[in-house]
Amino acid sequence: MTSALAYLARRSAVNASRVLLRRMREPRYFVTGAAGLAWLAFLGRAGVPRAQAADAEGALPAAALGVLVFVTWGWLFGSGARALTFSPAEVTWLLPAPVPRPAVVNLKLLRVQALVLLNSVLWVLLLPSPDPGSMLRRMAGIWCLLSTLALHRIGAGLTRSRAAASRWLRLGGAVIAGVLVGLALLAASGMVTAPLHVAAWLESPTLRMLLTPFAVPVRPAIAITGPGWWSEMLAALLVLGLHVVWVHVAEHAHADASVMQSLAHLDGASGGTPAMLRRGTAPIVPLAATGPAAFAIIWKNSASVARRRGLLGAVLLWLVLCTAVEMLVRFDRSAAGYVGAFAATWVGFVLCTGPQFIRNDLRNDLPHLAALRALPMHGRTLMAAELASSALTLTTLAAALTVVAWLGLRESADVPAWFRTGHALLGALLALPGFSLIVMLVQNAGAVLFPDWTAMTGRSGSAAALGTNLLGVLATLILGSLLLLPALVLLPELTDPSGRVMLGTGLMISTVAIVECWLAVGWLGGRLERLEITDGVVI
Amino acid sequence: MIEAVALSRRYGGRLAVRALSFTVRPGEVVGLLGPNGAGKTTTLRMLAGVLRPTEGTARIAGQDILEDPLAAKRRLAFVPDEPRFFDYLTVQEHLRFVARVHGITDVRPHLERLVQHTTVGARLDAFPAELSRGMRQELALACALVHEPAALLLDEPLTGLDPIAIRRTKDVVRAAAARGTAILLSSHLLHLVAELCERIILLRRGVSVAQGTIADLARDRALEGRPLEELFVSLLADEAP
Repeated sequence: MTSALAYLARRSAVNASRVLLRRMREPRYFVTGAAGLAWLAFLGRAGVPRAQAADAEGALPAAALGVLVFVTWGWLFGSGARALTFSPAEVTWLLPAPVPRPAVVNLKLLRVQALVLLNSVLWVLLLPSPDPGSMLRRMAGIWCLLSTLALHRIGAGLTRSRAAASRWLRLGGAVIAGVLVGLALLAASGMVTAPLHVAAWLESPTLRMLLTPFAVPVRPAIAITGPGWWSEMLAALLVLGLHVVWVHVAEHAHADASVMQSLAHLDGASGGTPAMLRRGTAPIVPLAATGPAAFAIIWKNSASVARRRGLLGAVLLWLVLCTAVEMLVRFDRSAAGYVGAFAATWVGFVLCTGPQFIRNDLRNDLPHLAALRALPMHGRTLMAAELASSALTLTTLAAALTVVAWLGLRESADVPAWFRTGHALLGALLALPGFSLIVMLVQNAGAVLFPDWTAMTGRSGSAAALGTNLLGVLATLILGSLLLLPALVLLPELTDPSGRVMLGTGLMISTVAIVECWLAVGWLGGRLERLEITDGVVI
Repeated sequence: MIEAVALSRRYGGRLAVRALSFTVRPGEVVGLLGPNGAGKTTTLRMLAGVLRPTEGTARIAGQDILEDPLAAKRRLAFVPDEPRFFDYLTVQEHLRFVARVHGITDVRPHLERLVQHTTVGARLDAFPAELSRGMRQELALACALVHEPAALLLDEPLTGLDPIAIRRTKDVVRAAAARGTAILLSSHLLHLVAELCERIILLRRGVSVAQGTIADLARDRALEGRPLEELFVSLLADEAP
C-alpha cells in the first residue's frame, strides 16, 4: 500500500515539475520566474548581517515566546476546519480504497513538507550563516521547527473540531482576550502605573523556565554555532516525533470530523454551499433590477466578501488584541494614540498585502470564466467590473483604518503637524481609490496574462502557492509604484506639504490611476476575450 | 452482494438517512431513486466506507464495512457523481495507481481495454483537466473496474453525458452485472434507470418509501406500461406532507 502512495507522490512531483518547466518555455513565465529567483538571491545577500545572524543566541527567549504565542493562538482562536482536509481527488480515490487510514494521513503530512521545505529555504536565505556547515545546521533546525509547528497546528485543529473541546477553548480564548483588553483599559485609565518591560521580562528566570518546552524546537534553528547543537537537534527531533504520533492519535479520534470537512469542501467545489460561507446573509446593498451590467458583477463580488464566515470577527479580534498588547508594552501614549498607531500600521500592511488576500475579482472568477464570457458584455466592461470589485473592497478597508488612525493620532505629538490637519485625511481618502485601483490592476493583469500562476495562488498550503504569492506581492509593489510615479513626480514639497498640496496629491494619484486603468483595461479586456478555455479550465 | 442493515446517518441534529435496509444480489442492478436531498449520496458514501454510519452497518460481499473496512473496500468500487482526479497524474497513471492500490500487478490488459473501447484511451498521457466530462467518466469507470469488484456503487453515472457516452456506460454496467457484480446506482434519469435496473429503492427524506421490481410496484398502483416517471411521482405523492 505504501508503494501505491509513494507512486502517487512521486509521479505527481515529477509531472508537476514537467508542467512547470514546460510553462517556463513561454517568455512571459520565464521572465517573471527569473525575476522571482533574482529577488530570492537579493534577499540572500541583503538579509540580516552574517555576524548578527550567527550570534542569535540572545534571540532564543523571544523566539520561544513567539512559539508559545503561535501555539496558544492556534488552540484558542485557530480554525480546526482545514486541519487535515482531504482533497477532492483523495476523497474520490483514497477514502473508498483499501488504504489504511494512517497511510493516508502520512501522505497528507508529506504534502505539508513541501511548504515547510520551501519556507526553510527562504528563512535560511534571510538568516545567512557564517559557513556552509552552519548553514546546513540552520536549515535542519528551521525545518524541524516549522515541521513541529505545522504538526501542532494540525493536531490542535483536529482536537478543536470536537464540539465540546471547541466550546471550552472558545471560552478560554474569550477569557484571555478579555483579560488582555481589561489590562489595557486599566493601563489607559491610569490605574496600572507600570508598563510591561518586555526585554527585562524575557530575561527573568521564571519566564525562562516557563518557556523551556517552547525553546526546545527553536534552539537548533537559532544557536547553530554552539558545541551542543547535535544533542539539541536530537531533542527537537524527539518533540517532532511526538507530534507525528499525536496527529495520528488525534486524526483517529476525530476521523469523522475530518471526513465531514473534506466532503463539505468537495460538495462546495461541486456546486454545494462551501463551508466558509454564511447562509442567509443579506448582501451589503440590494441589487437594482435595472442598470449597467457591470454593477451586477461588482454586486456579486461584494456579496462574496460580505458572506465570508467569521472574516470581520477575526479582523476585529486581531486588531483589538494587538492594540491591547501595544498599550501594555508602551506607556507613553494616550489610549486613542495606541489605537491610532496600530491602525496606521495596519493601513500600510493592508495596502501592501491586501491585494494578495482580497481576491473578489477576476482571480476568483477564473474558474467560471466560460459562464462570464457568455454574458452580453465586452471583455473591457467585464475586466473593469472585476477590477472595481476588489479595488472597492480594499479602498473601504483601508479608508476605515485610515480614519481610525487619523482620529487616534491627531492629538499625538509623535506625528508631524501636517498629518493632524483635515487636509491630510481628505488627501489620503482621495488617494486610496487610485492606489487600490493600481495594485488591483497589477493583480488582475496577472490573472489575464498568467492564468496558471493565478490559479495556483488561490490554493493555500502549497509551496507553489507560497512562491507565487511572494512574487505577487513583489510585482504589485514594484509595478504599482512605477504606475503611480507620474502622480508623485508632478508634485513638489511633499516633505512638509500644505493643505492644497495634500489634496492635490490625493486627487492626482487617483486621476493618474483612473487614466492608466482605463487604458490598461481596454487592452486586458481584449486579452480576456481571447483567453482559451477548455472544459471550464483556462489554458 | 451489497447489504445495508438499518443504516442511519445523522448530520448534527438532522437525520439524513434513517434505518435503511436492503440487499443487492450478485449480478443485480438496483436503482437508488429519490428527490434531491433524499439521502442517496449519503447512503452510497456510507456503503463505500467514506462516511461512518451513526447506526447500523453494511456488508460488501459478506465483509462488514465497520468491522473490517479494508476487506470490504477490497471488494467494492465507488464512482461519485462528479469524479475528481489528481491534478498531476495522467490518464494511464491514474489506472496504474488504482491498480497498485488494489494489488493488481499487470495493468496492461486494462490499458488495452481502455484504448480499444473508450475515447479516453486515445489520450493516455493527458492530464484530467484536458479531458471532457465524458472522458473523465470513462476513466473513473475504468479505474473502478480495474480490480473486478464484487460491488459497484455509482452515483449519478449518466448525468451530463452525450448519447454515445451514455450507451458506453450502460454497456459497461451491463457487462459488470453479467460478470456477477452487484450494482447499486443512483440517478435522476428515470428512463435510463428503467432500462438498466431490475429493482428500485425509493428514498424520501432518508427513509425508504418503496422497494421492489419496477413491474411489481407499477402493478400495485395500476400503472403497468406507464413510464417510470409516473410511478416515481405517484409513490412520492403518497408520502408528501
